[in-house]
Amino acid sequence: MDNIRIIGLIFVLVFFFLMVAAAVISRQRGGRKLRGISAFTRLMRAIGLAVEAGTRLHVSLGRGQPLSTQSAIGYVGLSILERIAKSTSISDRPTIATSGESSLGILSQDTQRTASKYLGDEFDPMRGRITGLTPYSYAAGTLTMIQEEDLGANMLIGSYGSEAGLITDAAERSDSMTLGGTDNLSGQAVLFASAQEPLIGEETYAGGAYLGSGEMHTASLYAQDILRWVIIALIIIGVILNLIGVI
Amino acid sequence: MEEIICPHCGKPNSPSNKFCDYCLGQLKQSDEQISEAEHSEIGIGRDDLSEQTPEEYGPDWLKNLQEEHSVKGEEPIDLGDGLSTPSEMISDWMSGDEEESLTTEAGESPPGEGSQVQPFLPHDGFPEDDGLPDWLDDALLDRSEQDGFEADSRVDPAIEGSEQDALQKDPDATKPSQGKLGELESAGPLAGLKGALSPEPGITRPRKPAAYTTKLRVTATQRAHVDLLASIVEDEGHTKPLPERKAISQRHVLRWVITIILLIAISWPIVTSSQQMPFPAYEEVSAEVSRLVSQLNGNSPVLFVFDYEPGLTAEFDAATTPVMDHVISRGALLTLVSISPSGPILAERFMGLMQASHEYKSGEQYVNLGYIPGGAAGLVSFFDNPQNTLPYTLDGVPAWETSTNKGLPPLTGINEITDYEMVVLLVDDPDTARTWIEQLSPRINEPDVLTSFVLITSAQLEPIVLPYYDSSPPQVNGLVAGLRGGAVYAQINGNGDIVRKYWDAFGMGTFTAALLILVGGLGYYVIPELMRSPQVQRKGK
Amino acid sequence: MRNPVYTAIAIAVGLVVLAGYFLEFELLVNLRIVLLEWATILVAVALLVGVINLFTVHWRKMSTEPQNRTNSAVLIISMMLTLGLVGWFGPTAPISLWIFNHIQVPIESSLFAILSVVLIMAGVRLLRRKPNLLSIVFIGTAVVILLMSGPLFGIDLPALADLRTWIGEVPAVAGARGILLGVTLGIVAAGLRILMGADRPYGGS
Repeated sequence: MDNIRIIGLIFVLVFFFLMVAAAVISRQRGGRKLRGISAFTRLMRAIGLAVEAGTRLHVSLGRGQPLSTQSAIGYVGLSILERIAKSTSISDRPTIATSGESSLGILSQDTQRTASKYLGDEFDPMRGRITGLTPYSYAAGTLTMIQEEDLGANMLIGSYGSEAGLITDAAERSDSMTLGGTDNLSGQAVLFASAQEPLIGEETYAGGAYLGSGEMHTASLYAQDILRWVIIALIIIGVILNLIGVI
Repeated sequence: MEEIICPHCGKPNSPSNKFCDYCLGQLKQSDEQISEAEHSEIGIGRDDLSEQTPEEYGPDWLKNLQEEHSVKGEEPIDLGDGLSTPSEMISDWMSGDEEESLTTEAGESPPGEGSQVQPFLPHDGFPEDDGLPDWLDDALLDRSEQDGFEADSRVDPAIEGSEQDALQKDPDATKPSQGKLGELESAGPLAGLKGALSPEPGITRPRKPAAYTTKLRVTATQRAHVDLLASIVEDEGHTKPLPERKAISQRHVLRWVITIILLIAISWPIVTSSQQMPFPAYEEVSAEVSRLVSQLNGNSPVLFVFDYEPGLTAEFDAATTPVMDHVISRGALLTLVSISPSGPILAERFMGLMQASHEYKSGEQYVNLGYIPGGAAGLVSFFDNPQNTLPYTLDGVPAWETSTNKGLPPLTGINEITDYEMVVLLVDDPDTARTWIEQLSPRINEPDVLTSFVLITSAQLEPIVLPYYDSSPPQVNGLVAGLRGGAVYAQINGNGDIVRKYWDAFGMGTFTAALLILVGGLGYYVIPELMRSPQVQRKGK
Repeated sequence: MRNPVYTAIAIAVGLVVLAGYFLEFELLVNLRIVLLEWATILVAVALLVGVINLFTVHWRKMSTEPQNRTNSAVLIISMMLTLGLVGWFGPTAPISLWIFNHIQVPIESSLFAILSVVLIMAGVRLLRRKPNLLSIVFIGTAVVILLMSGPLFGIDLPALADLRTWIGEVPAVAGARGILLGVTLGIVAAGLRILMGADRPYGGS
C-alpha cells in the first residue's frame, strides 16, 4: 500500500471517529448552536409560506453522476428534499423535484414516496421528474417547468455548471425565490451573481444539519470544522517549511 | 271600519274582535252578561254538583266573605241547590265560548246557584265606616275617575328591578286602582265579581310584550372596529386575484438593451469582415502543447477525449482545430472516446466538418469507440482494460485484435492507457477535468511511462486546471484554454483560420460585456440612490 | 420505518468498495471491481429509465394539461423521430449527423448565448442587490478578466495584462482550492453518513 493510500485511510478513519465522538458529546451535553446562514432561515420561511399560501416548492437536484464525487451533493439534495416533502405534504400543492440524471430522478421519486407514506398521503409520480439528460437540456426543461407552475421558491441543491444561470433567470422572471448551492466552481460563481440566496462551498453540505435531518448531520459539521483547522494548520506549516527550505 | 275602543285599557281594536288584543278584556257584553255580571259575584257555574247548600259546601273563607262583606240592601246571591260545575265556574274569557257563559235573564241569578257570596268590593266602594285610611280612599276615588286602564309603559313585570323603581317613583302604583267600583269584573279570574280591585295594568294585565330594540349602543370607534373585522372575515372567503405582472418591466427593458448592444457589437466585425485585431502574445502553457505535438512520430497513437457540451461547439472548434491540424500533420492515428453521452457524436461531427481537408477515414486513420458509461468507475475500467470496456466502435464494428479479428490500425498495440503517446482531453466541466486528471496522472507519472497529457478546455477552466500544470511533478503537461489559447496556438503554428474569423468579434464582445457590467452596474446602483428624495434618505439613516 | 435490509446492503457494499480501494487484498480488490461493474451497468440502465420517465411525464402532461400540450407534443415527436432514425441508420449516418448539426448544436449554442446575456444582467444588478465589498470585488475581477481576455482593439496595457495573469494564477486558484477543500470535506462527510446508515437517500420503507 502506497503512502497516499495510507494517508487517505487514516484521514477517513479520523473523520469517522470525530463524527461519532461529536454525536456522543452533543447527545450528552446538548447540541451547540450553529451559526446563522440566511439562506436556510429564508428556506424555512419559504416552507411555511408555501403551506399557508398554497404555492409549490421546487427542489432541483442537479445532474451529478452517481459514480462520481458529484453524487455526494445529490444525496444532500435528497436529504433536504425529504425534509421539505414531509413539511409540505399537507399543502395543497406538494413539492416538485427535478433532476438531470436518471439515478437522481429515481431516488427523488423514492424519497417523495417514502415521505408520502410516512404521512399517509397519496404519492404522485409526477412529483419527481427528469427534465433532461444533458446539462443544457436539463436547464431548458427545468426553466419550462418553472414558468408553468406557480412556484413560491426554488432550491437548487446539486451539481450545476453555468447552466444554473438559465434556471435562476427563469425563477426570477416568475417572481419566486431562488436558493442555490453546488460543488461546481463555475456554477458557484453563477449562483453567487444570480441567486437570491447563494450557498458558497460547503454551506450546501450543511443543509441537512440546518433543517434538522438528524444528529449525525450536525456531528459531521463539527468534524468538518475540526479537520478544516487541521488542514489549515498543515498548509501553513508546509508553507513555512518550504520557505525555510526544509521541504 | 270603525274601531272598537276597549273599555278596560282604552286601546283601539278591530270591530270583529270579541276580546281586546292588549288586555284581553271583553270588548262587548250582551245584556245577559251584564245582568249576570251584576248579580253574580264569583261566577260559579250551574252544574249541579251536590245538593249541599253553599253554607254546607265551600270553604270557610267563603262563608266569612258572606258574613263580612254583605252589602246593604243586597241579598247574597242565592246559588241555589245546585252548584255550578267547575267548568261553568270558569268565566267566559277563559272558556272562550260566549254561549257557555253564565247568561241568564237580567236580574236573575243563575239557576243552581247556592248562597250568594258577597262581592269582594262593594259596588260603590268601601263603606265609610270600614276604617280605610284616607289616602287609600282617595286613591280609589281617583282611580275610578280614570278612563279604563291604559297600557302601562312605565313598568313591565318582565324587567327586573324596574318594577321597584317604578313603584318608588309613583307611589300611586301601590294603590289599588279604584276602577269603576261596583261594576262587575268582566275579564280575568275574577270575572263576574263586583268591585274587584283592578290590577296594575303594567303588572298583571296581560298584554302584548313591549318591543324592545335589540340594537346595542356602540360608539363610533367600536363601529369602526366592527366594520374592519367584518371586512377581514369577508375577505377570507374571497380569493383575491394576483397582481398582474407588468408586460414590460424594468427587467425586460434591461434584458433587451443588453441583448441589442451585445448583438450589434459582435455582429459588426462579422458583417464588415474585420480581421484587424492582433492575436495574443506567447504563452508558455500553450507553447508546451505545441512542443509535445511536434514530438509525435508517424502512426503515433493519440487518444482524443471529447467531453464537452454541444453548446460550446464554437469555442472548442476554434481552440481544437489548430491542435488537431498539427496532430494530423504529424501523421498520428487517433482514438476517440467520451464519458458524456453526446461526446461520441460531437467527435464524429468534428472529424467530419473540420477534417474533411485531411481525408481522415474512420477505421483507418481514426476510430471512434463511443461512450464510456459509469463516470469515474468506467474510466478506471477503460484505463485498465480498454478492450473489455469498449469492444466495439460506434458503428458496431469489432475494434480490437482477437484471434478471429485483425483489429483496427489505430488500436494496434494498445492494451492499456499508457500505451498511447498522448492523451488530449477536450473538457468544459471542472469535475470531469479533475476526474480525468486525478485518475490518469498517477499512471502517467510512473517511471518509464512516456505518455503526455494535455488539456484543451473552455476559458472558464483555466484557473482550476493551471495548478495541475504548475505542480511538481506536473499532472498536466500542457493547456490550451478557450479561444485565446487557440489563438496563441495558431500564432505559434500558423494555422488559425477559424480563430481568425472569430477573434475580432470575440474582442468586441468581451469589451462590450465588460463595459456593460461596469457602467450598467454603477448606473443601476447610483441613479436610484440619487433619485431618492432627501427625506427618504434621511429616514433610511 | 426504513427497510433494514436496504440499509444493510448499502453499508456492506460501501464498506467493501472503500476497503478495496485502500487495502490491496486480492479478494477485496476483485470484489470491488465486480461491484463497480455492476454499478456501471445499473447506471446505464438508469439512463434508459430516465428516457422512459421523460416520455411518460410529457405524455401525461399532454393528456392532463391542455395549455402546455404543444411543448410536450413537440418533445415526444422529436424523441420518437430521433430514436427511430438514429436507431435504424446508426449514430454516424448522415441523417443522424444532420439532426445533431442542425438541431441540437444550434439550440444548445443559442441557450449558451442567452446565458451570456443572463450573466451580464446578473452582473449589472449585483451591486444593487448586494451592495457590499464582496460584490465590488466580484465585479471588478470580472471586468478585468473580460477586458484582458480579448484583444482590446490592439491596445497594449501591460499592467492590466499582468493583473489578469496574477488574478488567474493567485487569488482565483487559491480561492478555488479553498472551496474545493471545503467541498471535499463535505463529500467525505456525506459518504460516511451513508456508510453509517445515518443518511438513507435510497428511500424504502
